[in-house]
Amino acid sequence: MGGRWRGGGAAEEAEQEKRRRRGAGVCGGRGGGGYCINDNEDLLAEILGRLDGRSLGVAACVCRLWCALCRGDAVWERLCVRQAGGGVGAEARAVVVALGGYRRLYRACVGPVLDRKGARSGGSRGWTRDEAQLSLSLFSIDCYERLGGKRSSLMFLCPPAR
Amino acid sequence: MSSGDSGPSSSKQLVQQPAAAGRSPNQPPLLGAGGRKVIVLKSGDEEEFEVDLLDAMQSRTLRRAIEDGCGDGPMPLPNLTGPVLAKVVELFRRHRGDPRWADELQETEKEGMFKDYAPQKPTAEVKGFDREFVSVDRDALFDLLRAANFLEAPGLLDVTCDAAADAVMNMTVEEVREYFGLVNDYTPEEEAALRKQHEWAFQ
Repeated sequence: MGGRWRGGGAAEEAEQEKRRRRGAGVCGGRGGGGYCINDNEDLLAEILGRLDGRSLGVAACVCRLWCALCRGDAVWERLCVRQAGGGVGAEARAVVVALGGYRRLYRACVGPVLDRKGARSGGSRGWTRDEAQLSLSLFSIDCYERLGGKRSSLMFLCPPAR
Repeated sequence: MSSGDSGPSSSKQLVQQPAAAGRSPNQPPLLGAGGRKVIVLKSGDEEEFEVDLLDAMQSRTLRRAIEDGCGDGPMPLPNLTGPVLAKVVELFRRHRGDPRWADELQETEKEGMFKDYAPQKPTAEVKGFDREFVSVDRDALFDLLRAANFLEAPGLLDVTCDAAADAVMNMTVEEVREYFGLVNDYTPEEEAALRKQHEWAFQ
C-alpha cells in the first residue's frame, strides 16, 4: 500500500473549508447523508448544465450560488448546443458572444423557436445548419434593434458590441 | 453496514471473474510487470471488491492512484460505503468500452493494453442499465453523485448528473431547495426582484 494514496476525505473537507471561508454554500444540514450540493461547485455546474431554459430560470432563484452559476454563459452555451446543435457551438461562439452571449441567444431565439416547434411537432432534436444560421441572423437583428434604431446601417457591427 | 458481519465471506460477492476470463490469454501484461489483472477496492465500512483493472481505469482518481503504484494492496476509499461501491463497480463493468471514457483512455494507450477496450456506442442494454442504476431515492442518488465526483469517472458522472437534472426539471424554487436541503440566502426583496426578472420561467 503506497503512502501517496489518500482517500477523498481530506480533499473534500478542504473544499468545504474553502467554501465556508467564501461565505457561500448555505446548507440546511440535510440532503443525502448530510451532503450539500453547494459544497461542490463543479458538480453543481455539471447538473445545471443539463437543465432546460425554464428550469435554469427557476434554479437562479434558489440561492446566490445557483444564481451566479445560472447567470454564467457556460450553462446557456451547453443548453443552446444541446437543443440547437453544433451550428451555434464553437464555430459561432465569437459572434454569439459579441452580440450578447448565449443566455441572450437562448432567450431571444432558441427558446422561442423551440417552443413553437415543440408545440407543432413534439420537439425534434437538433437543428440543421441552415436553421442555426437563420437563428443567428435573427439574433444579430435582435442585437441591432436593442441599439435603439439610432443607426441605420449594419456598420453598427464595426465597433465592439456593448 | 457493520464491518463485523460483512467480513471476508461476503466481500467477494462482486468478483468480476467472468470479465477477466473473457479476455484473450495472449493479452500483454497489464501495466508492465506482474500480469496483474484485478485490483481490490476497499470501502469505508471495510467491504472489499475486486474490479477488473481496466474497468477501474474509468475513474481518473483510481487511474492516478494505479499509475502511482498504489494498486498492489486493497485501495481504501473511506468516503464510499459498501453498497455504493458495489453499484459503482457494477457500472464500471457495464460501461466497458463506453466512449464517454474510452476515447480518453485510448490517448493514454500503453503497450496495447486497451486494445480489447475499443470505444463502442452504448447498447440499449447499457442504457437500460443506466436508467435502472439511478432509479433510487434521493439520498442514494446523492451518495452516487458524491462517488462520481470523487472518482472522477465520466460515465458515472454523466448518468448521475442526468438523473439529478431530471429530478430538478419542472420543480418549483421551493421544491428545489427542499430536494437539495438548501437554505434561501436571499432577502425577501432580493428574491422578489429575481423572481420578477425570471418571470418567464414561471409561466
